[in-house]
Amino acid sequence: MFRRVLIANRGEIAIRVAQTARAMGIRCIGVYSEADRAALHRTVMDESREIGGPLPAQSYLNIDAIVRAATEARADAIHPGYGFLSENPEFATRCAEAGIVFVGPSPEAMAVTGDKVAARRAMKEASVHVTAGVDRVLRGVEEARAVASEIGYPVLFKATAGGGGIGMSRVDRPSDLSKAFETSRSVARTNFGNPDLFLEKYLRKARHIEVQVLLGDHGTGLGFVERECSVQRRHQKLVEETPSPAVGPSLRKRLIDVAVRGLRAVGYRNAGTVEFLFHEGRFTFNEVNARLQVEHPITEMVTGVDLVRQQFRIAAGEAIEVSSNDVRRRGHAIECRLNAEDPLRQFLPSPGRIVAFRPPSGPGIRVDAGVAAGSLVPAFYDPLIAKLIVHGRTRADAVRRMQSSADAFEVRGIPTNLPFHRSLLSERHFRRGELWTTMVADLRIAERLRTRGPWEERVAALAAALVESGRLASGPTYALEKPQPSAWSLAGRKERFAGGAHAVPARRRW
Amino acid sequence: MRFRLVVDGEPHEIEANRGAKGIRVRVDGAEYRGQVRRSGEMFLVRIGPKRHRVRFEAREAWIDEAHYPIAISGIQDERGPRSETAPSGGTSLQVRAPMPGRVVRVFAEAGMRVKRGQTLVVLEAMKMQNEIPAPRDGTVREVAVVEGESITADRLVVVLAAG
Repeated sequence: MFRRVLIANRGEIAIRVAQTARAMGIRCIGVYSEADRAALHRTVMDESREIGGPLPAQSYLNIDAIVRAATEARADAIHPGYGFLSENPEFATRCAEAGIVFVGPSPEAMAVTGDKVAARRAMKEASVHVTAGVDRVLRGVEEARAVASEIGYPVLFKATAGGGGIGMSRVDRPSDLSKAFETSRSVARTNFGNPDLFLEKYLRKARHIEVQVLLGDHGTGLGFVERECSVQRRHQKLVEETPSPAVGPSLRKRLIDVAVRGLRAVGYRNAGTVEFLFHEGRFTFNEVNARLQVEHPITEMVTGVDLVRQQFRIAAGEAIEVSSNDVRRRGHAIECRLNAEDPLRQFLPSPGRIVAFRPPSGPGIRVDAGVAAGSLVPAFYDPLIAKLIVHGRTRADAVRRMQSSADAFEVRGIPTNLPFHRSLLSERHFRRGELWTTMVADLRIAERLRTRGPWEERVAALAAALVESGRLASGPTYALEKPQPSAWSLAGRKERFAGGAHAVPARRRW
Repeated sequence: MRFRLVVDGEPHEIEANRGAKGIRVRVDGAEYRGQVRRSGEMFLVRIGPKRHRVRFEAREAWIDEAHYPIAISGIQDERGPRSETAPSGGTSLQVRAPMPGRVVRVFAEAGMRVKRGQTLVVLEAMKMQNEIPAPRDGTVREVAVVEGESITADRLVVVLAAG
């Protein structure tokens, strides 16, 4: 097994990976950008290194700086987490050249899965049904028009190098096609440095269903019970659950078989996920995610398997500790992604200082957080600050537990999407398990939100009372620049001075 | 009326307007409608279906059963000078950043005529590109940001002149 791993990521996933690594006796080396000098993930590492400026390109995407840090720190492995360099074949190659094991698939497998057209072709060859569309890069708008009329509108443009919904655009009628083509190309060029597009049939009211796979050496490996990630906004997942309310035992078996077969066909090794669209009783291949995914904890909750541990074992050439014969699923799990986004203002990013952070706890509740009270959420990175994951005996139990946990979760200082989650959880389609990828927009869930939560309502009540009291009319009658300490801390201070039961020594001055 | 209200160490930007049917309060951009009734030292505030009891005591406020240190600053009355929102001449309008972020594109140029909704600059935060549109038709008088610059929320982006 490895002795020292460099975790090339930040936030909750860096902390998550470190937890498992430390439990396996592997020393953790963290990296951070200038903007992350005070970030929480630094505090859980055995040591950490600054790798560059605040922009991702200067730090977390900076291959030279990360490989140098790993070499200097004498790391024998690099775990990339998700996002950033996790699916970058060049990074994996550079790690190998430096004699460091990349915890993930081979660069060759990543090159296939990262090119969406190549991935479609590979899946077809492995007799996996792919969503109707083209298996080549579109050379121009006329070719796109011809293909679109052949497969029928609506269609969806996708970037071959894309990810995270970036560069996708839906076209409902021929007259909108050329504009969408140009927009998608320019977005793809700016974001991925590659303007190439292909197109697929757009499926209305489809479900997003995916299968987590682990593949080891000598043909070992298994697929896990499916995850459903249909609750999305602009192709960004917000809530995931397992199992899917739409999948029964026979369909499940077929999904898992197809996913494992598809990944084997591209020579895949380590953890990966095959995403499908489920539409009118049929599932078709969508894409491969060649990394650990954000929503991996729900699989861990229902199976008890530590996926990061298995990733380390596979990368070190050790055997996977579970097989399809002995993996058991128990109950239902749901994850809500907590983002620094304001659902009352069209999900506008809301970076800033977190003043209070009180996650719920209790049986069947797991919180993977990248922040704590006092953390600064920088504007440079992903808005994900924490994941709330719950387990229940049944879906209804899990939904109820999620509801009480989301109600209890308190984050102050910056707006988060918690009010959105609270509202979604009581929405009747969601409760019935009737999910589709555009449900958030179609049901106008965010638009119907009226409040950020009980704390903000209290502040509003306080402000209203202040205005009505007339205290503000004649100027700042008791305005203070510095807030006074609360009565509790004053009482505590008095007690300390008095040398009471909770007396603590005063800090020494040097 | 606008002011900054610090409750329990957490700052909030407040905008309050009294009307015939009660009071409208915006807390950091989210709007609440309330009714306030005074009962001795106590203010009874109804917001939606919920009732809150508020009482002031020196530099603290009791809200329902808990009390918090509070501080108020930057009070601006509608009747007073609104220096921050309309500076030189009543016809110009300052467009400010709705969030912190990095300026990735600047479309606006001084002297350019723009239509309401037209994108002035693109601001990137948390991997999301957000277009800042012109709030009305007008002429760009000044562009206060450059591409590549990182800016804070509420920073002046563009000054628009009417017409």
